[in-house]
Amino acid sequence: MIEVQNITKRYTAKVVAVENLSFQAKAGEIYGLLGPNGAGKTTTLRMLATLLEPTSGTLTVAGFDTKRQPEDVRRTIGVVNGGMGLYDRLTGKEILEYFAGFYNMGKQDTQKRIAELSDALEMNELLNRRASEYSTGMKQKIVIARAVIHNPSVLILDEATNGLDVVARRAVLEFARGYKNSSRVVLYSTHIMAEAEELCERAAIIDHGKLIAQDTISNLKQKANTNNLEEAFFRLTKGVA
Amino acid sequence: MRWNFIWQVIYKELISTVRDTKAFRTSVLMPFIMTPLFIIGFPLLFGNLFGGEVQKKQVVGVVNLVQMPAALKTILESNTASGVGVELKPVTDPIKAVQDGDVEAAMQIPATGMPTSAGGATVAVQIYTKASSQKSSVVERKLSNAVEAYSRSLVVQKLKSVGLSEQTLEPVKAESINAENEAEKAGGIFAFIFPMLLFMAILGGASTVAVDSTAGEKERGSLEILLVSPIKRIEVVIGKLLAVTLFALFGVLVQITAFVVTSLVSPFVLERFGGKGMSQMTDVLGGNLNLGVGGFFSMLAIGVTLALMLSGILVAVCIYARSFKEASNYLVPLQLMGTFTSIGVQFGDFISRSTTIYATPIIGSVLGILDVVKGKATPEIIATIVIGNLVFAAITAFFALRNFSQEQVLFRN
Ligand SMILES: Nc1ncnc2c1ncn2[C@@H]1O[C@H](COP(=O)(O)OP(=O)(O)OP(=O)(O)O)[C@@H](O)[C@H]1O
Ligand SMILES: [Mg+2]
Repeated sequence: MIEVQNITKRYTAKVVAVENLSFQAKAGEIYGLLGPNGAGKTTTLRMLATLLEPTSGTLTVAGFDTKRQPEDVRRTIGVVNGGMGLYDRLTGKEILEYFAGFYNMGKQDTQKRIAELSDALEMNELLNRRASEYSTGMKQKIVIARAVIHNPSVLILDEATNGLDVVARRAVLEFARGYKNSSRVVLYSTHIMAEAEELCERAAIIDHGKLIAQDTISNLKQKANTNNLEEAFFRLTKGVA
Repeated sequence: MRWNFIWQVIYKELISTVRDTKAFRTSVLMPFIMTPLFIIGFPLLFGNLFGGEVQKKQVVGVVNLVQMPAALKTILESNTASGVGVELKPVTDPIKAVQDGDVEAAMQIPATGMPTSAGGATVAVQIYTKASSQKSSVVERKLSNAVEAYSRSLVVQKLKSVGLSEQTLEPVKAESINAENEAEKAGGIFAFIFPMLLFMAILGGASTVAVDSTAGEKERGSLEILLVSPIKRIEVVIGKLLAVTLFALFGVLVQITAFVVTSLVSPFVLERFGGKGMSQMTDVLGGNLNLGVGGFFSMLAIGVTLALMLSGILVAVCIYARSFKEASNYLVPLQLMGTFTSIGVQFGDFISRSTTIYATPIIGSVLGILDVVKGKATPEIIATIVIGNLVFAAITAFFALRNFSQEQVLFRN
């Protein structure tokens, strides 16, 4: 469902954030994009989300090319970035309605979907309060609901558990696990290996913009000769640094 | 272009901004505080100070006081229609006395005395004041007027003794009449406040929205999420541009209303609370704004197109910034530019008016508003400014659009 082929992203003549990177994620899986700080994860996800254009290479999402069919791509994906950006003076419900509007969801569909998500994320009491009153955990619920308001078949999570406590973190992981089904894919980017180990079937490890390895979690561990993903990550990334 | 998407963006910015009650209230109240302060408050304050000085009995040091003719002394000490008299006190060193502040002014009567009749050589009487102090100019005028009156009385005496009337002195005289119209008089040296306040009102309302909806959204990360939805970048930027423009226009309306309201009440307030020097003071400073219907619409036309242009600049500049703080820093020069241009152009009688200068962004609008206030604006001038502003509004809107479509700008590191 997600195909990344030989992409390179050059910000400036000196800064090459991603270099000749390729990986594929299939429907029905949670795919991990793992790498240390500055590895190029966010840059890659922004290219998938049509926010940045690759310097070279192609990306396709659900069969749509990011360059030629950006709007189709955007209709297909939902994104959670580390930012947690909500509109402080709007209520949770207003924020969700605002975004639903851009997917041309009718009023009824929107309300139905908000009710669904409100149950799934246990955020009923948040909906009519302004975002400025939320705790970080509450914010993250609205952020996730906003990302999937239109039932996207591709969910992209970039450091989605940033700054969350144990309970909120668990809720995010559970939501991601529950979101995956045979026609959907979740792309989960993180530098926390425990989360990847718990959640992902397969993963790509990148460092300095380059692919280090792409495989199932168990094969990655085997390759590095350890049964701990963090140790495997450490051994695999150390080789190129 | 999907107008329902654009409208959605506008609506969200509108409610977000209006719900920021404190900031919103301030932007509405500000013009209603600043306008009366400048148009009524300052003339009132200066007028009362100035009037107070005229009504005060200043102490004047006199060298050789004993030599002063009684008639001159009477003139100096007596009250006249234009002010009360002064108190005379003998001193020996006039400069030191003034500098030490013992006396507010001093005069020196020659040791040899003063003439009591005309016909001999001219005798000089020195008057000592601190020349650059506004206050001393009042006492200085009292003293020189008194000396002049005394001198004239001697001449009149002399003329009478040979059978001539006082009019012999002045067979012809020049009479100056202020040919400024009411609006020009209203302009005064404070006229610069009109463009300045208008500029501040536009930026006051619009810059909060501009910063919040561009750099602010960028900093929070919500802009990224918005751009990931099916809305096109051009729709986002048009929505934000229009939202900013709405608040800029709102600022113009509030400010012009404040002008009109203030100019309606100011005559009553000035008459009720103004001191004796009030009428002179309002003539100099300006205190009455006489817009008239034509002036009102001219001001509105300039204000509205200036608002369009500034909105484009605001959005183009703020989207470049990565954070609230950075955006606010970028806006400081824009704010200063409005004030400095207004004050600078105040002395604009020297600026040769040309189509080019009226079409120049900001300067043209400031000049135009001054012209409107002074009743000198012609339809050609207004049209030049309006067209100039619209052209620059289009250019700045283009830059706002361009900045939104550039990933180097949206995702600057
Ligand atoms: N807009 C930009 N302009 C220039 N360089 C950039 C830009 N954005 C990112 N970079 C650089 O590109 C590299 C990759 O950054 P990126 O944000 O993609 O990494 P990341 O894997 O998401 O890191 P993190 O875990 O810290 O979020 C870094 O060296 C970063 O400094
Ligand atoms: Mg990142």
